[in-house]
Amino acid sequence: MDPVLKFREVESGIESAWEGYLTIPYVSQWKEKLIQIKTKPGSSWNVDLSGIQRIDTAGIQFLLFLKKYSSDKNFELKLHNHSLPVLKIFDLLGLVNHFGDKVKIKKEYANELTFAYGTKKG
Amino acid sequence: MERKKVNMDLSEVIDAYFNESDELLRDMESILLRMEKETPDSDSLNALFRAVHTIKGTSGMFSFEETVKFTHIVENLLDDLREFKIPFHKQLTEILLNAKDHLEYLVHTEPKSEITKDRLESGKAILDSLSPYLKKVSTAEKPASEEKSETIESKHIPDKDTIPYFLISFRPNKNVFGHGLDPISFLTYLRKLGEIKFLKTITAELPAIENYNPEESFLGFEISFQSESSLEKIQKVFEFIESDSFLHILPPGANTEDISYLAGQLPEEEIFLGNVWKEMGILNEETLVSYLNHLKPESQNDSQTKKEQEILPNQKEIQTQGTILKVDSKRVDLLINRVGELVVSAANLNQLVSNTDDSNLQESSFLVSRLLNEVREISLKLRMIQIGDIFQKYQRNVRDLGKELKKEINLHIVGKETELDRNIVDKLGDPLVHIIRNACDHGLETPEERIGQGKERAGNIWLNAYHDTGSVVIEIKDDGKGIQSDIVWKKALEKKLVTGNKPDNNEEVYKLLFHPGFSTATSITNVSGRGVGLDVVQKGIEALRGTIHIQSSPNKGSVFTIRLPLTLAIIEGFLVSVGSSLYIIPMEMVLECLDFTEENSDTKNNYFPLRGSLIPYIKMRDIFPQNADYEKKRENIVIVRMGENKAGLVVEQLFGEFQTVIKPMGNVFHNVKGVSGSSILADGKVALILDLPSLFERTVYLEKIRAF
Repeated sequence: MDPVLKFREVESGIESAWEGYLTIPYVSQWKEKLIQIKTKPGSSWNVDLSGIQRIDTAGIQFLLFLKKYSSDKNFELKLHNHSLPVLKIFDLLGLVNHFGDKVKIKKEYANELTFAYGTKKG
Repeated sequence: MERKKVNMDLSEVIDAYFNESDELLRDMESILLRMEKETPDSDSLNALFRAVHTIKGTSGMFSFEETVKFTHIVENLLDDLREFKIPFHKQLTEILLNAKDHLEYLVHTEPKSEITKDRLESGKAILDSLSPYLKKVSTAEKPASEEKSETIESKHIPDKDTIPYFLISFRPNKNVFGHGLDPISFLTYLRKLGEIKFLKTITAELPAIENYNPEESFLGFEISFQSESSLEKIQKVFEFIESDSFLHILPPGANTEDISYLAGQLPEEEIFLGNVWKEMGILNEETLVSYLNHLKPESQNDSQTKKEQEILPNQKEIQTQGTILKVDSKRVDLLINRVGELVVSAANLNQLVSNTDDSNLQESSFLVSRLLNEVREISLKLRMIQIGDIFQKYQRNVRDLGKELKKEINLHIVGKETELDRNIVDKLGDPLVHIIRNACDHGLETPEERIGQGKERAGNIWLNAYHDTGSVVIEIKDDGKGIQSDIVWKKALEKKLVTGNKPDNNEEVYKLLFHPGFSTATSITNVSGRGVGLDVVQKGIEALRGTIHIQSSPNKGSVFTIRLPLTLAIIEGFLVSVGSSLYIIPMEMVLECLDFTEENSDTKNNYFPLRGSLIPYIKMRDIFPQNADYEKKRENIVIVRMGENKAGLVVEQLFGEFQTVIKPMGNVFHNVKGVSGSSILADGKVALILDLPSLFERTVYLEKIRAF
């Protein structure tokens, strides 16, 4: 499913919502879109991940790259409203702590996730 | 080792088998010795496997059943090692070295009826000592339900510094997405075989935006995995992606050495990996310290490794340049002899042609001479081999001697690529072994003694080879206690070899060590006695037209310096005459020629003034008296270099540079000092090739007798 990127500028920076597949056929498009977004040093970029329906290694690598990019460019990347596919991969790869965002887990997802490691709880 | 005679039909084939096996065993030994110091890479393990596999194959052709049986088991173990089915343990090198020795014995002793009972038993003992490691493999092959009780706590795994789970290091190839593979799906599937205790995603390779291509993979994964499954089953999970990735799986029980080896294979820095593995619970505090300590010696050896790497690429280059043709050395010798004769004939032809006015003939003759020179150079090089080949085997000697003497000894080899005539190399082996044994036994101190003197525990021996003005110099240096010249002098006085006071020059004193039967050792060990046999060493070196000198400093060590001609066959000479006799001086020793008159020199003490310094000289006419019919002509002095000193040789006519083929002197002239060979000149005359070091030594000796 083709990705959709919605974004709007707010006082603190940018708010955006991504929808669709964050998988190998689409990651290049994500990157193209990212370059167009102008981020200011010190600003923050809130990304709503609730619309991500599928994510693979290329997609997770893209999020990791984005985190590194934000630190290089001196803006703050905040991921929130993680969808279940995203959470499952975060769980498997022990990445929750890596992004440093608060992760809210819906009750219905709780049985499908363990977070046995990577959250400093394991 | 003496080779067995077999029937004539097979002799040529079996010679090839011996040669090939010897070469493979030599390679095997040097890899194993390296493995004692550093964890092997896959190239080394593959090379070990190939060596044993090839010997097994060829010995099978001759129905050498004992060799086949023995190699089969060793081969199995090496196969599992190279496939990483079992982790590498240092203990294995000792067993594999014994296996290599036994294999060498088998190769040269088969058929089975010739093998002694003792040897059969020792072969069995070696295989028995391998069996625990082999057992571990078979355990891995058992169904999951059976292996539970054995794998993790195998008693053969060295005690505490071991990892508790499988450690899977997975680095997908950059292009993996392009091949339609998603690494995460393999990790998800892995969960079906057990529990991922920890998975650490490695993002260290993630590039900056300008180098970031979202379609390339930059991630890596370190996984600690608890599973009842065998290594093979776990490997199968990654079967489809394996060829596109770096995958290394350490089974539970792998120790810090295995982890260090793995660290060397991964792109990230070792310290970084150490922290990752600690976070994952693979390394606890204790094993982390042990792992870091294990890394230290490697960084200390960096300079040495770098040096070796500087040499190694050249060797690799040589190996990959075309194929290597193996030729019987007798054929090469025959070729060189013929080329030598051709050189003499061409010189003869040149002389005849120079008397004619035919310019075409002169030109052709000049061209032939030039080409012949090139052929001569090329054919001489055919016999040149890198000295590293003989040096390498001393690693084993030194290792074994160190164990026997309970000393820690490092052997450093420098200048492996220095080339020397094969014939010289063959004869150099025994003298070198002797000097090295002496250095190990009497030169180096025990670890306790060394520490007492503020030295590092392990003693060092350096074997250094290099070219120096047409000669090859081989130095055997140690950092031991040195030779005590007082004791040597005292012993020499006791033996009535000398009288009077000890000379100031210690080198003169050390020369006494070369006297037959001379030893300063208070007790002679199994290994050697300093001095015992050094006379044989000297004779061996002199037979090669070489010289040997000793330098030594108390508590700093000794250096034995051997200087040898590059080749035995053809030398660049400087032709001179005295009366009717012709002599050849090796060109590399000649520095300059000057007029000699009685007025311009000190004839009483035989000194020649040369730019403010006095050079000792000898008159050839005094040493080789001439027939009175030949009137003395105007004299010249040839200034020659003798090691670091200069000396003069008073001759009459100078004919200049001359390429000459050395013909060895017959046994009748064996004891003639000062002459190393002869040469037939273009006009059929015979010239003697002078052995200047022994000529001067003899003169000094005669002077001393006269003075006495």
